[in-house]
Amino acid sequence: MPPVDAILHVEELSKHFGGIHAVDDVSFDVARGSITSLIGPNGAGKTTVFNLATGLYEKTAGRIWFDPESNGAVDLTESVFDPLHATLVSAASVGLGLLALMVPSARRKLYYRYRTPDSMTRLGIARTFQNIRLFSDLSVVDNVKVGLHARVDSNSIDAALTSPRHRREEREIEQAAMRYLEFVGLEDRAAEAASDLPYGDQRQLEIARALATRPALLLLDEPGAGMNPTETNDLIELIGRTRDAGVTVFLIEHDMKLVMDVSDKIIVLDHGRKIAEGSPSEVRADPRVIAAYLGIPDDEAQGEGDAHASA
Amino acid sequence: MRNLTTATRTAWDRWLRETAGRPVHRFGGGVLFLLVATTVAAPFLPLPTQYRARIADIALLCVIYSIIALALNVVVGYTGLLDLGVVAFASIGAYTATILYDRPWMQFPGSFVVVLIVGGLHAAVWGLIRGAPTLRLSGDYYAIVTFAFAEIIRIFIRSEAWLTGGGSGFKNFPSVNPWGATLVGGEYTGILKSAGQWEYPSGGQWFGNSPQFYYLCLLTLGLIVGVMRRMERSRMGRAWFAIKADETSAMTSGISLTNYKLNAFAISAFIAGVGGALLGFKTATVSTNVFDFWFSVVVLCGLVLGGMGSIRGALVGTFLVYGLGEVLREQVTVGSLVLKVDDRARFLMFGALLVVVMVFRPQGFLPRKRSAEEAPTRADGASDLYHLEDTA
Repeated sequence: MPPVDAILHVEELSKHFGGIHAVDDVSFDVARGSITSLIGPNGAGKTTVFNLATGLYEKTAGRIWFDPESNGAVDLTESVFDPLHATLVSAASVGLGLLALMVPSARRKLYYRYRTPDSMTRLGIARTFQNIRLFSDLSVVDNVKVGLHARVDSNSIDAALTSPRHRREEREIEQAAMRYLEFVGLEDRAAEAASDLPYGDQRQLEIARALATRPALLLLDEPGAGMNPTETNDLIELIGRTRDAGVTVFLIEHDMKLVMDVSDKIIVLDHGRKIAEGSPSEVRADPRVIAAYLGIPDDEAQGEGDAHASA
Repeated sequence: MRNLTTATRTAWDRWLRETAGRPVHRFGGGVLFLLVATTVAAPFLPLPTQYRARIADIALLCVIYSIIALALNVVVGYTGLLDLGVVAFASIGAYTATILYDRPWMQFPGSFVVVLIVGGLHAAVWGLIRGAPTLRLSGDYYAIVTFAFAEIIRIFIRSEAWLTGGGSGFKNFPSVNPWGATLVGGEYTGILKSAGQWEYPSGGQWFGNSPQFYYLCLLTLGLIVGVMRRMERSRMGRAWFAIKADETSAMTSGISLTNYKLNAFAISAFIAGVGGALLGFKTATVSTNVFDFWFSVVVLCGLVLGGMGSIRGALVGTFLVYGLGEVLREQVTVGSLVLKVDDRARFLMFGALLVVVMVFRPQGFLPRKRSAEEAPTRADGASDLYHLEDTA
């Protein structure tokens, strides 16, 4: 079981695509309330780790323990009983379904399935994407409202009747959505179409949408990609405020200034394996990291650590 | 005179400027108003009976097809899946409703409205049955499944004659029981057509041609439009639009694809079933000649013309396509010359219309607006849904 202070505890995690070991036996912790970075050259398996943690991929081996409220961790990668799925499977094949109930292994295979991404979100993990994935047809405020989806519970019948509960909830949703937009500084553009925002604002909107799912852990996949220095500084400040607001931040980033500025801890992947872990200054000086980035043999890299870090 | 010309030009220029590059709402609003007014008043228009009957007939057809277009809009416009098989659910609804009254071993005693709902529910069940295995499909693959499913239903109907009447379907249409009372002669007076035309060959009255039925259809459409408008602006509507825009980020925003796609399939099939049943009662013919593949295509065509994902678009598009389709059925006599468009050539017109619209307005006549309807108010009060600790 994970140590008490870890919100995310990754244990010997592997993901293979055929012969390619995208993630290979990786273990690390993300401390609660910290800003942790995951870095590494292109193709190191960083996004794969995020996809495993958000249920977009199924693991090959290992475990990811997630403990949103320090009251016991759950394994995100284990298959769980899914009532809706089980109903569908049973309905699809009444005879087979009943037979399968009697065989434990078949029962597990048919009625259990890996956690879906939406159930991960309900547990308290939110993420953004490397290539921005907003709902471009929706307005800015509606994007954030979609983020609130899992935290409200009026149903279609409420909506059809416009019940008092539904109206009250819609008012609250709008208020909350505006608060999240204020948090990232987009409240003045709430009515615009999301795709009309400039690039940097789109990234911030994606963060607002992710925050609206009320996560305990926020995964940011290259939040600074394509940003100019001013936008990057705004982003650094935003990430700091997010952490101060009680959300643990775990990010993938190539912009070394951003990484070194914000991170409490850095984890370095290369070819699917973890090659280093530690504070920014430790990682900066690590010869294996320098070798991974610059492709220099380990013994030659010793003296060049500082030169690379300042680049 | 000069002043008038200048004023007209200025107004025209301003109108062009104001409507350039965005949905023509003002124009659309006017057209919508005219359509609604004509449709509502159609059975009582002060015109000679033959014209009034024809106009009411066309309007009623448009109203019923609008219901089916709104059903299709849920899947195609909201969740963004191309559905070529809406006819399957319309025919399930129509056949269920008809069989309930017609088959000797059935002889359903209840009201017509109950039969409509039963037809819709039966269609919804099949919507779920078609939807559950296809949850992971999208694009062309999904379209192929919907097409194939519609064909399965059609072939089933054609071959199981003991239940469905086979290829000829129901011609001697059963006497329906409109409001829980038995229909007796003389109860419905001929507003739509002259009395002789709306009696069944079997002796019963043709309910589908009565003004009562006309306004029931209109009421149903109004009800569905109202519910759809509310759905669009609710949590469920946002979930559907999110799925359409990007399935992956919809999932990571906490939306269960299984849940919301199945919802959409069931709701769409239910409405299509009700619409199909109404269509059956209106035309008093339920057969695979009406419920064929082209049925789906023309409904979809209307939806695309009007603007997918928009209720007003669906209505305007459907009225346009079916209105045009019916008008093209008329024959015009000029002196000794009788002009008539061949039935099959009507599809040619639809095709041409579709091409023209796709060139000039690829998003349809009245597409869904991308920006918010009105600017949201700034947050002032606290919200329980906002969870970030205030550190400012």
